[in-house]
Amino acid sequence: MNEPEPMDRAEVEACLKRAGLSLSPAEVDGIHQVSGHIRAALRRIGTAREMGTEPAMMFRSPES
Amino acid sequence: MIAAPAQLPTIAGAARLIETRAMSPIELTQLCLARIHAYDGKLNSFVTVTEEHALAEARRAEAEIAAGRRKGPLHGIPVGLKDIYSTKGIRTTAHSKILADNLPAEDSTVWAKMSASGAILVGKLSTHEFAIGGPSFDLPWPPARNPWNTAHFTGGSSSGSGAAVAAGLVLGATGSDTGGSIRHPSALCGIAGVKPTYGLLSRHGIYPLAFSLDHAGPMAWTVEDCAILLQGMVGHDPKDPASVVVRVPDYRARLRQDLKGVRIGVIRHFHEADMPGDPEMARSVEAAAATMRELGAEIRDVRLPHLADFNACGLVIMLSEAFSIHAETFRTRFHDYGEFFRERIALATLISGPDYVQAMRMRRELTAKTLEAIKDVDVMIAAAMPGPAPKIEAVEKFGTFKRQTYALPFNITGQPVATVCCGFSGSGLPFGLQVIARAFDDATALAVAHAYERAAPWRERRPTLAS
Repeated sequence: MNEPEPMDRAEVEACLKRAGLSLSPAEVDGIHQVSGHIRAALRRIGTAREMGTEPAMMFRSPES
Repeated sequence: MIAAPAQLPTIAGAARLIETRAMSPIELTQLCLARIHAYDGKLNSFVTVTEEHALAEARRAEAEIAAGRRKGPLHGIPVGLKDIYSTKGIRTTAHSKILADNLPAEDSTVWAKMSASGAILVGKLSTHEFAIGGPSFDLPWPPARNPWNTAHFTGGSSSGSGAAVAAGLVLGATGSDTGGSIRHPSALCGIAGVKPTYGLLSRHGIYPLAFSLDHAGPMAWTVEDCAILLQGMVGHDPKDPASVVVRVPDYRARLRQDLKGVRIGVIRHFHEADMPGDPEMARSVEAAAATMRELGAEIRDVRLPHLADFNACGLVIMLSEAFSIHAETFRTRFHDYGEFFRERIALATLISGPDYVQAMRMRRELTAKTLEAIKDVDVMIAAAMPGPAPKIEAVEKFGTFKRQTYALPFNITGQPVATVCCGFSGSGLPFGLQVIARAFDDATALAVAHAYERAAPWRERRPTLAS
């Protein structure tokens, strides 16, 4: 299986830091190495969509 | 030489024995406990065995039944609960150091319903940590092992439930399914398992993984037993915001012996093209479709969106929601979680808010396309896993994110799925088949899976256990 290219390591470190996580360099390495799969998933979902696909939160009227 | 404890009956069989007084709940519970003591040392399917509690409940069930107050087919039946189901005053750990001493103040709604139906709790079952972090060897309890070959993986995350049912240590168990966690161990352990329609069963008191994908459900040796368990678990619960008010049929009464007039769509492209599976497994799916045709079903192809679309969407939703649950504890106790859990969930930090919203929008598109595909059939069938259980040491920390699963699409759509054993590999490991129905037509998924199961020879095999 071809491994997708990882995200930029500095970007991975920044994301982990923003979340308040303190990881060892080895743990950051592991997450960095697999990060390409996350980026591939994000590319797959990141296309233009119709307004009808908004995740709706609504009250139902008593008549419905 | 001490004789090995006898094999357990099915729930349906035990219910008949109890009803006719040919077996007492105490005898049945003692048999389960004897089998747990004899075999679980090599299977690790239990985190906690509730022996005294079980025997006390069995005595109470026996007295109630003797007094003519039998509640139904679950009365006096010993079961196990995945250890993310809260049990009042009984340790509920999620297989994690984080909750190692957690004593819940109340029962999960599903267990409260099962208990009210007379089911007896013999113990809490192993899981992947918080239903995703496994199989792990750095947790307070070892991972469950597959009874068909203990060198192999059970599937997860309801790993102990799959192992304990397949080994005949309990008659039934509960699982939870966020991306296949009932269906994967059901398939790899060769048992039946049901992921009901989203919203049918309450998740109140069940530790969440990803709220919009989480489902509770039953696991048992047969589909009929799953129907009995489901009946005892179902019902609206205002404590779960996703719980729906819906008319509940008699699932067991809706089971059928044939499939005359049933239109079945086969989702072949998942395992033939999108993520090719093991050829032996693919043949078992074709053989199952042929058996269904012999039972009277009309078989045709159906095509859903590409598996990679479902998996990308599900991965982003699952990680985001899971991280939102653990974020605070991660900041203070990151290394108290097991390596698999903490590093898998830390991947969520790479996902942004807009990414999550886009995934939820994609979910609506995928669901609409799936509902369109099932429009002209009554159920769909698909492989449950790409092949037989791998060796437990071969399971990769990030394997879940590198490979697609055939199960996750139906967490995204919320449709009911019954998983049933559909054969064995040359090495003697089971394969599983998914039977997928329309939302809230759980009864049809069960009925089709049951008809197939009765026509196939797979329930005649049991794993050979070493004590």
